[in-house]
Amino acid sequence: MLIKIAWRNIWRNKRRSLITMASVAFALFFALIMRSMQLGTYDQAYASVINATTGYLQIQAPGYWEKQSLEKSILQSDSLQIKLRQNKQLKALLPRLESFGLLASAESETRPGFLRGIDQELEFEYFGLHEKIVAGSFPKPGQSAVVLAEKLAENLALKVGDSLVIIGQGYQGMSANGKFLISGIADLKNPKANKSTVYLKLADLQELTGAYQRLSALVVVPENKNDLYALKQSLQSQLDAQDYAVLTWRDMMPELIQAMEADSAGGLAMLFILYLVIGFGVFGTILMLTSERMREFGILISLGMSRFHLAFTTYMETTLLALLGVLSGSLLALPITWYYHVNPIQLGDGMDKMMEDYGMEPIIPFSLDPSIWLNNGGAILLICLVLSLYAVLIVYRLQPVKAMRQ
Amino acid sequence: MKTVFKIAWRNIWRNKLRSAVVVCSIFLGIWAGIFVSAFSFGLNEQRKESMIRNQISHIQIHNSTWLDQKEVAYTFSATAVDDYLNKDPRLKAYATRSKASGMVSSAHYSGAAQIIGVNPNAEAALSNLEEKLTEGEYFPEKGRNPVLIGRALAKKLEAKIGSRIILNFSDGQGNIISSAFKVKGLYKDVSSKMEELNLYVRQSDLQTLLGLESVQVHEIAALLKEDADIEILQQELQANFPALAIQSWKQISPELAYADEIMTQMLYIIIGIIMLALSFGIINTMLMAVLERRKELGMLMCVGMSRTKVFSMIMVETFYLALLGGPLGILFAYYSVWQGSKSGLDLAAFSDGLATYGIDSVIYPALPTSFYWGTTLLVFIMTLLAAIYPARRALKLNPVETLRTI
Amino acid sequence: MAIIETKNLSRLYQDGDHIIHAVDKVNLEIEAGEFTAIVGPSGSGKTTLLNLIGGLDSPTEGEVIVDGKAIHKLKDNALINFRLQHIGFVFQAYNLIPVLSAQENVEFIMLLQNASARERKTRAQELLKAVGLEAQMHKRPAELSGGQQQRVAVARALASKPSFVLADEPTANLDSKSTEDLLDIMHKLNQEEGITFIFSTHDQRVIDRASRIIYVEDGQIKENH
Repeated sequence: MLIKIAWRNIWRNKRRSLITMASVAFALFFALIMRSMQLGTYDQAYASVINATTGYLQIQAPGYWEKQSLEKSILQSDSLQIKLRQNKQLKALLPRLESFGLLASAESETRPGFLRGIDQELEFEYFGLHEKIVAGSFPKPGQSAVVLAEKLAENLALKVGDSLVIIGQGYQGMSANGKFLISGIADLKNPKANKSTVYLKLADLQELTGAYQRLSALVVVPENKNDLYALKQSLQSQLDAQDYAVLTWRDMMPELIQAMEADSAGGLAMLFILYLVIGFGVFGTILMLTSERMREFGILISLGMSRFHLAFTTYMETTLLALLGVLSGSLLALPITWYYHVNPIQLGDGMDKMMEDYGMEPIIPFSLDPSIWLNNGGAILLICLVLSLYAVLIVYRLQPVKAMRQ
Repeated sequence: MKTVFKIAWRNIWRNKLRSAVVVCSIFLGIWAGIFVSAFSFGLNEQRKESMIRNQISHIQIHNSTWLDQKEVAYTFSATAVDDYLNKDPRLKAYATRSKASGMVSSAHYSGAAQIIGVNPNAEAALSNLEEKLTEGEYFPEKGRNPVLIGRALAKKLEAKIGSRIILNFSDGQGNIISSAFKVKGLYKDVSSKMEELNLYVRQSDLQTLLGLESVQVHEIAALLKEDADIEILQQELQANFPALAIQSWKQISPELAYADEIMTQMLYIIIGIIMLALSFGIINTMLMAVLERRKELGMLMCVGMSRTKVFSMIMVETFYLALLGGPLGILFAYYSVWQGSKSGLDLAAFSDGLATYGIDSVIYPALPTSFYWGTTLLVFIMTLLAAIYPARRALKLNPVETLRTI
Repeated sequence: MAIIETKNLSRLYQDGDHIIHAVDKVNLEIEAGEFTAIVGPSGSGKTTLLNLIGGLDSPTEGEVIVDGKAIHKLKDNALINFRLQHIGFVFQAYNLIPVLSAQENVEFIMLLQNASARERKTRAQELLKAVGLEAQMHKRPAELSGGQQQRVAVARALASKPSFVLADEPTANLDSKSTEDLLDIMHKLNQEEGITFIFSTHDQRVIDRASRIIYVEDGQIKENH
């Protein structure tokens, strides 16, 4: 019953109520569009870089990540892998060996290259590597060959069927020189990776560098990519810290996050100001609302309405107003964010190069993560709920006779 | 007309709390908006300056083919350009460089490297290289093949002053050159990635190894005194040396140029959105102010105040509200930005992320003066637009209502 | 010479299917110097008649001629300006601008007429003296009693040197003492300065003082001298 009164009270001053609702809706709409865009970009950027480089979690030798040297490698051990696979949150373990080398071809000067020795079956299954082939194929069983990243192949002027010469440094000071057939060329999407990566079979790279039975890292594919810390901790408990280190992508690429978070912080600052301004506006409405009804409040209290009921009704009124604003803002934002979620904005004009330099695809997909709606809608609603307490204060402090004289 | 101003002024203080709420919100919104903008602008300026000063300079000159395929074979003769640029008063500094990409290794690590052959004095003047030195000497007179490496690289190589490291690179004729260099100094750069990648050697040493004449260089970079001269000089050079590729920083780093261009737009969008949010509050308040005075306004039109004057009065009242908050907000913001620009704001938490942009963690907010004028204009226009609705509403009041007796 | 003349004046309203004749073919003449009361029960049309004479409403049919000008033909700002120059108003309430003092309220009208500062000040002080409020010149309406406010309203109405003053129930909110004081002043101004007053009223005390009474019933007038 009280809620019904509150609802009807809103429409006593239709224009003012609509304007207030519109202001809340506007703030939320803007907030949602902006955060959806920002967070969508980050997600996409993260995923893109993570999948092309480190994966979500890695098990390495302690100190390997700072040095990236073959000297700090771990032993490829079946017993270790069996033990780790017992962990329920772990979906798969992919062994990798990584190294540097100079790449030479008949047609061009040497370039530095990033050598990655992989277990092909596993990489196909969990990273979809085979889908990235654009020419030729990955080496067949028994074949020792390499797959070049697209831009790298272009720079070296090499194609499928040509030979690649690798001159690198091997394990424990040995030199690592070899010549390989190029069996395929892959588009790795991530532009940085595309300029330098060479895929070899794990065993081939181990032989080339002399790092037999050694790995740079075990890449962990998690069951749930959102709960990495739990997985990290459970893995750490299974492993001896002297021999193994467990790193998440955040540990390995902190600058990636920070760059995003600096940008995100900027967006949040903007939202803070916006909410502040709208908050003032809502407060103004509450002020006007209470002051113009002082007389009415006085009469109601005199007639016997309890302060609690009156306060409740008035509080509900402003709350409903805010709620309506939040709902309409949320709904309005949906079509736009959904559209750009499915059809991300394509970047051009220099923005695309900027994205590529950071290793990302030049698109802006919008995020439809419900937490965006909940967090922002919730924030504005909370602000309004707090401001509405002013009305309660007025009701409890008013003196009926004085109020009726207005 | 002066009376309209007087009456309007007194009218806004009839409801002190309500007016104060609106004025406050405008003040805070504008102040915060400008400050956040100043922050973004300052950040961008620092990034630009850092990149230009430390990395790309204002103008770079290359052999046209070298741009495409960065191979050591594509040099050009520096003599003619040197003559042209020498003693040009517009130039602050310029330097020639030789470049090769390859691999650096020590017993402990090997990785990709960008080998840059420089003229010590010219380079110090151009890119501050000497100042970046943290340990050791800056290219001493004597000594064979000195090299300057980044601290991060030194760490990975486990090298210190006096250590020997091996550089491998192509000589442009199908041979790989492997040469030992002695670490004579360590330098620091804001970005650790740069520290890992770039090595500095004497240009003469590099040229000797490559079998190049001393006038055959890969790159000439120049720093000008005035921004305005950049494009002019670029055009002159292109006209005089049609075979060479002459680039300005805008072409070398289009993302920097893009960020620069859209920066001003972004700032106005920020303020615009804040003003829009404020408009809701202004309109609501003024509408209330008009409607609660309907009898009085009716009376005024009865006794002879023209519609124009009544309209103006409401407009002026709205302007007073906005002008109390707006200009004050702008002035305060100007002061805050000025203060901030002296001491800067330390964003230590984001220092790594900022480093990828090439900036220090201390940010100095700044804004071009024209922006303050622009904001003032924007506030003025938006107030005008917000005022129109309530003012027109006032005109719709019927004078006859006043005579309706109870 | 009649300062107000109506010819066949009618004002009709549509109420659903009904047509209401608020003012029905009224012919009226009011001369300068009159102290006239327009009297009638609620719904008789006296307020509508007053509105039409004062140019606050336009007739459906007929003519209203004030000071020789056919005001029923004027529109908007022209009409507002005419009222400013020729007619003074005293309403039952809400006469004054709350943010201005008594003196400023009186000066306000003259300001709308672009009178000079000195003229405004002198005349305002004169008028306020004439209504007995010299001491209250600088007070705002909120600081004055109901009766005092109405007296300021009279001073204000006279400030523009109008042809006549229209007073719509000016005494309705006042106690008897204030009513007497107000009527005394208005009567005095009428007798001594020859200012024309036209009242619309229920108040017997006003009717008693009126030199002419016009009865309005169902939109038509009956006179009783």
